[in-house]
Amino acid sequence: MPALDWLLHGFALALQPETLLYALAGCVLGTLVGVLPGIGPTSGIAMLLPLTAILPPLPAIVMMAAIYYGAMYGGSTTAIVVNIPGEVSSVPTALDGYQLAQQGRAGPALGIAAISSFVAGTLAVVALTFFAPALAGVALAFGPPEYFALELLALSLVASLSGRALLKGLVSALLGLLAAMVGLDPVTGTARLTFGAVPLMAGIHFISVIIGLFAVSEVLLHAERGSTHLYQAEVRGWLPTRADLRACWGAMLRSSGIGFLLGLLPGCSPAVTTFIAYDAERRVSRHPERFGRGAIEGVAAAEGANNATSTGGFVPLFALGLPSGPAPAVLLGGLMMYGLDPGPELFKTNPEFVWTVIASMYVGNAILLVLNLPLVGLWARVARIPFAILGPAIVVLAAVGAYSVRYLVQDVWMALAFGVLGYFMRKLGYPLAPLVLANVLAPMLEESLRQSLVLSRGSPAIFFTHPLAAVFMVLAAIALAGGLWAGRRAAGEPLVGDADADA
Amino acid sequence: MRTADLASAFVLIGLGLAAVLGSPRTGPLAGVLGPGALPAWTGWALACAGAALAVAAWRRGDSRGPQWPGRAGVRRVLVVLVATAAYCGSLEPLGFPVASLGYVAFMVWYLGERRALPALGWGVVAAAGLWLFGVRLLGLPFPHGPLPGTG
Repeated sequence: MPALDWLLHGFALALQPETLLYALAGCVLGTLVGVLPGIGPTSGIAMLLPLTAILPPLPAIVMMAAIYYGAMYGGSTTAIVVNIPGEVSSVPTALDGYQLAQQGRAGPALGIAAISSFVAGTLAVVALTFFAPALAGVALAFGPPEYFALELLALSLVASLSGRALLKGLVSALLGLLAAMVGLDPVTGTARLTFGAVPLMAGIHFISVIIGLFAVSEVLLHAERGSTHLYQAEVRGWLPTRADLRACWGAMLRSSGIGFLLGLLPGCSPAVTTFIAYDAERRVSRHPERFGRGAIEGVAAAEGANNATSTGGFVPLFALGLPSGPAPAVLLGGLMMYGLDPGPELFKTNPEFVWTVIASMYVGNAILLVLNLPLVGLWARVARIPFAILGPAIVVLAAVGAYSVRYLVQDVWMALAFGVLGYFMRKLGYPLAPLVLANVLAPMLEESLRQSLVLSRGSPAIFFTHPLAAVFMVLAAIALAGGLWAGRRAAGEPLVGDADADA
Repeated sequence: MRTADLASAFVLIGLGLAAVLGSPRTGPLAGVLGPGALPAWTGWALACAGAALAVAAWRRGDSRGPQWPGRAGVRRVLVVLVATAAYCGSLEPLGFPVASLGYVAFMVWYLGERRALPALGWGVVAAAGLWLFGVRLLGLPFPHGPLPGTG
């Protein structure tokens, strides 16, 4: 039976009324958990998977897919409404989404996030349907040198986003790298940058870094100003206008392509691709200066890439058993309970199962859109809650999020420390995004660097003798040089993502 | 911004040098990078970037500075910081729900209209929500403090 027939068969199974109810429940639960910062998709799926264990295989699979998509989408809601990106992949969403919310356009931003997620998810599922078996081999073309060069490229792109403050962007990235290196060396177990403090041996988790930099520093800034509300602007419309949709369709298509193709690479998570898609959108835009100040295309690009990468990640997951990140890894564990045996022959040996999962993903996507568009108004009303109530609630949510990752109170302290750092960085015009991305990429960057050097017996020439790696290295250099040039040209322009820094 | 940039540049130089000093001295492993190599390189890079920032700030002589808060703003930031630190410190001895009750009640009182009863009400709502959603529904193992069943 060809792929399309198997997909239709999968739809027939996934669209039964009872199954749809489970999908709805999964979307609601996933979104609720995804909204909590720190808990995010990985822990959310892990916590909710036992719920599916009492169900027969089919509803269980559908519910798992729905939980996955719901949790992935939930993070963008808090990023837009209260500037708390629960996951790294929501950081680019927060850059413009929160600015839009401050202009009274939280509703359209949330709507575009939902629509872009749906469009990108749909396109990616279509690509997955037709090209999955053929694309599985792409993942194998990437070795450690290619990964190192790709990660370096992602970092360069984000640092170059800093505009005239490229140096400050680089400093921010270096701070992120250093924070990630605190703790035990992953290879030798040697303590690094701990200065003898035992709690630091556990390292600094990136969720504490994100929560502190964004959520806690936001509360400090508002406390300083004596704000009565998180944003004063009157709410203008609940849904995106036609002009918004016209402005975003290109971003949705481009980010779907970028997200899906990069999602094929094992280990290339939405944390990386959302930044790359956001940067690409800024570069092709006729008005790049609007990015970081409330460009709705920025939200569309980040959310589209996020969903497309999640879907693209299913190719190496199914065909090679390689998850693209922690959340798909947990999902894989759940699917394996129901008989999924990943491998290159999966599409031939167990087509009914795999196509039902793919159809479930599509159903989950559609339910998420139907569910979230009516809720946009409700979320946007959060702005009407007085800051005296919302501020402490944000801190408590931040504390729960930071604690929930490893169940360590020291992570809550870390979030507070990074909140203070974020407060000063925003005051002094240091962009936050490079720090976040560098912090997340550092372990992968170090691992791929070490592996590459082992392969080349210590010679860094390996990054230039492998063609793909060399291309990425050259692109990274061009991105930095371009950032420098643009910075000189646009001296006096405010920094991307920090439009509120001095407000 | 000049003074602020200069000050931050010197902090960065210090931080970079501290990272160099805090990196383990273990030699290369199997012919490649030892555990201290990357932290040390990053430390040096940070110190150099800090120095470059200092030079740039010195040359620019830009007088536009960040908008630092007035006395009332500083007081509000400090009160929020101290309250949040106290909240972090009380999470283990008091447990998440009770500590959150106290924190939310105080913050709502301090940042809002200084009315005790509504503030306490919001504290109770936060604690109950946390217990219901975090402990009962998601089963998060919060520290429970003196109240059993809250973690």
